[in-house]
Amino acid sequence: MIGASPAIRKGQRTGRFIVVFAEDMNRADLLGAMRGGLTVADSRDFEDDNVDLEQTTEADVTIFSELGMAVMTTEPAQATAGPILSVSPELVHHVLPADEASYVKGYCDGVADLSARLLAASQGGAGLPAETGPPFADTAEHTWGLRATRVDSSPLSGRGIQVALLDTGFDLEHPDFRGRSVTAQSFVRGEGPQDGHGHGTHVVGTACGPKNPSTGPRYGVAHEADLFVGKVLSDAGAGDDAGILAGINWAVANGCAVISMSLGADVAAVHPPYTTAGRRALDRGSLIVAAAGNNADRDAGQPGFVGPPASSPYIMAVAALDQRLEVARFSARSLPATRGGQVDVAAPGVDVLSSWPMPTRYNTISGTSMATPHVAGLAALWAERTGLRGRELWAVLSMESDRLSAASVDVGGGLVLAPQ
Amino acid sequence: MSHISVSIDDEHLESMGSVARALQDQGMQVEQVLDGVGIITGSISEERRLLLASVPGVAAIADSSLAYQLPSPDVGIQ
Repeated sequence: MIGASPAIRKGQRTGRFIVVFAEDMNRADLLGAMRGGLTVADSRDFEDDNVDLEQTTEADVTIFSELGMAVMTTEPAQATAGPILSVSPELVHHVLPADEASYVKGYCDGVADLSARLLAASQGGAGLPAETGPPFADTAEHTWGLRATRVDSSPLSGRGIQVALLDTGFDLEHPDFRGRSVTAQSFVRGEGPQDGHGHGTHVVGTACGPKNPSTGPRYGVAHEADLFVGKVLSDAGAGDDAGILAGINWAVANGCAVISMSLGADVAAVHPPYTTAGRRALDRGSLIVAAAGNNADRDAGQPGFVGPPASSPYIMAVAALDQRLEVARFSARSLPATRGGQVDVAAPGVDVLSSWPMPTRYNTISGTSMATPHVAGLAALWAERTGLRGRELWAVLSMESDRLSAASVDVGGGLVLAPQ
Repeated sequence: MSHISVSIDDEHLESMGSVARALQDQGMQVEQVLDGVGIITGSISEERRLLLASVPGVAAIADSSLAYQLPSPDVGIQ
């Protein structure tokens, strides 16, 4: 902290207070709330909002309009009028301690903290509460995946958000989706969008299944999202680049905020077409999420690798977690030393119950294919909550995920959570 | 003949039809003009492939012949 005196440094507080205003306050409200015999400096009085702190030292209050905050020299009691959210003491921030003795003391504290953490870890005491408690399980009301991602307590539904699922199609006659808005298109020659495999119906169910299914627990995340089903994999489960790119193009052209792809090739590389497609999709407000891949066999010491299309730097790669929020044994690891080939986030992907073509109705299976539509549905909820799209929506998902004890090469930024 | 995807640069996103015709003139069999993502797919013979790079608006040319295959529906890990 430049220019802070030793006296201030010792107390760790400047004596000033930081006031945070309600978001919707306009300039007149701000001034009105803060005035009352106080000298007020407003960042909007300075060119381009660049506040020169030298000029503001005489002011009792400096308002940072763009931040909706102010710094004041008086007691907080004098600023109780108006919609103020919080008042906090301003803290002194250090770059480095001032003298050698305090530097050494800080170093000692750091080593003590580190050794305590390492000892705790070696005794099995580390980890987040969610990882050390009992494993998640399905209940009569919700699948374990919806519980772990806190969809069960989220008030959001994905209403008004268009979600595309590019897969083996969808069972258009499934009773759980009666009355839903479904736009379906096949990009597979000689086959309609009806799902003749089952995989597509399962991922549609996880991303967008109903709040109250005909029987059993709720299994779908964005239960009021508008469904766009693009069939890019045949009834035999086979597809190619041309069909997948056509499906992405169709979803982008239709303004889908989220595009989910539970598919991949076991190739340890970035595939250039998906770098272009992913970037252009983000440019146009469509976030693509894709399965990291199931080519790991962790019990045998093989962590696998992320392949196309998830290996594109502009496509969000999703790993699978088990009921203990540990990485699933089949879930692929980030591609070493490859820009873009990393796992970005993680979601439930073991023993996932969801819809299946009639008459079977439901099926419980595992895979990064099952983790991916969890993230797609969660992205729809965040798109609804924030109004954000593309790269900004990606950033929100990253910010709003729970960090895990597992390595970031395996789970990226952690478990994506629903807005509350 | 190999399957390729041709990425179009930002300046030619509004005129992809013209770029597609120019690619055809160089011997590419154009299958799809994907204006949402700025990609043209199709196929070309190996000997003519290098000619495509000089077409105005072409940013990159890549093989796009990867195959994707799901396990059969009765497999537990998908």
